[in-house]
Amino acid sequence: MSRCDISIRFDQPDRTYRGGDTVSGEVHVQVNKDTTSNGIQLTHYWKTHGYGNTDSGGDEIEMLAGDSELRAGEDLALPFSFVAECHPLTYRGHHINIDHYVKVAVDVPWAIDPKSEEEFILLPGKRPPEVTGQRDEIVAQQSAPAVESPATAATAATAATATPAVPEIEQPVTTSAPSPEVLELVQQISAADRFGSEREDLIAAWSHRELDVVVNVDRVTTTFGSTVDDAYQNGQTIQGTVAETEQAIEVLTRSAGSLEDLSRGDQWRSRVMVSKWDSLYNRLVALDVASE
Amino acid sequence: MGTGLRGSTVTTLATSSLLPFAHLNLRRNPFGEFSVDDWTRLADVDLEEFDELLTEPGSVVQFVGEKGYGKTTHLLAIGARFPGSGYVHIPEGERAEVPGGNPVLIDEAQRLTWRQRRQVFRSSVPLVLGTHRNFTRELSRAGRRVRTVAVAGRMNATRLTRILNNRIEWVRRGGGPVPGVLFETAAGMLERFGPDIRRIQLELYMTFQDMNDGIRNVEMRHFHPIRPAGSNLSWR
Repeated sequence: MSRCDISIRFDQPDRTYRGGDTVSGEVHVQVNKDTTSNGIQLTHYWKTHGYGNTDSGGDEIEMLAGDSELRAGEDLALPFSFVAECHPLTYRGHHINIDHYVKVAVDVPWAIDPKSEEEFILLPGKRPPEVTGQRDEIVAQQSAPAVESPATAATAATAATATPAVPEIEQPVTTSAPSPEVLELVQQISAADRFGSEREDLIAAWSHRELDVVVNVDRVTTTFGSTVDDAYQNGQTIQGTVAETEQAIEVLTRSAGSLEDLSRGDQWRSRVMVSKWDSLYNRLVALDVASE
Repeated sequence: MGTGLRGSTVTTLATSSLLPFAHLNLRRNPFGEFSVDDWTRLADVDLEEFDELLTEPGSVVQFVGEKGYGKTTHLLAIGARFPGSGYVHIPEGERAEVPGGNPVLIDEAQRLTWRQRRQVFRSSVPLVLGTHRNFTRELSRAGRRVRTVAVAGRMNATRLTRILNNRIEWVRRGGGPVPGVLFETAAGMLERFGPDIRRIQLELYMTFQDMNDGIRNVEMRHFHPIRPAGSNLSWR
């Protein structure tokens, strides 16, 4: 029998909350053995599980109780509440899942801490009133000023004048956002049938267009292969995902060394031409044309 | 010998159908990636035989085997037995510094540079290597006493059954039955996949992802047809 049995109950029986909601409930600690405790700590955080490497984050810690002597037979009921983060949302996939957890641990000096954790579901929060969700608004936020259309400029200007009371709110970082065309292509790829030739046909239709892309870099390797165009042989290949999406991408560059400093997690922006669809890895293959 | 559906009483399996793997009375797919801590905790390997050897200066234990055969599991478990040890995993295509510690545990030791090998092998600190390549000759030339262990030979159906069911038990959600892996299934998997535990985990991961028809034991017929090597995502 462990020193304590810990159970966590949420006020919402289905444990489902939206970003910005208050997550509340009660922790029950049933003490089985007299125990000196340095405190009872609640942590809420997210972590991934599934196939491949794992990640976690967003740890927020609060103390439910301080130093105390816990007596056998005691049953403590400790209420908790905190405001749910807005992201990352709970996600269920074949290879990866994201879940949010409440973890409670009784800190027992010089012994293994009794602990328990339970998941809760995080759904999207309410849209802030200043965000209308109109397409031109999204375009206005993502376009660089140089390619701003009169319509989007007007929208941006209207937005700027409409919100003078909150000048301290930062504008979205435009350098990390891919162009709307790339996002449209990614959307079309995910909508296309994976097992037919739809994706290959789609890429063929896009292959004459130059696109601004931002890649979240996974790795940089030297390009080689018998089917690679001579101009790109011995250049460098950037592998990663299209920023703000989960679409895998591989960009062949002519650069032989200048991209060596890029490492996993960096963002790399360039102008590319779509080349082909790699059905084995569900990956978009593109050629860097920025340096031509 | 067989392991049936485990747990004697059926209780409420989930308060929300959105909770992961609640339909199997589990918290997650038991055959996905685990943290290093969990991996170490779940290691099922016999290591007592190396305890004395690894306290002697100049000694080396090398675990030799292919990818997925359990070299890392052996090294992590030895690390847990020797609190003063230092562990490093050398990633593919990268270099890594050899840590201090006693013993020093080097995973993927075949990726050490020539200079690193020369330096580390010629020192007297006890070493534990996980490697695809047998370094016996090089180590002996450097004056080391080497014990070579082929990890493939240390796996059998009984142990595999235990390892797989321990993983399932580790992610149990509550009282009541959970899926199980029978001895016959473990024996069948060893026959089909050899001692490649990572490959077996991958097959079981897929099987558990698709297990939407209730809690049941895993049988060989539930596995996907064998895919050609390289056509699936690499495990790690």
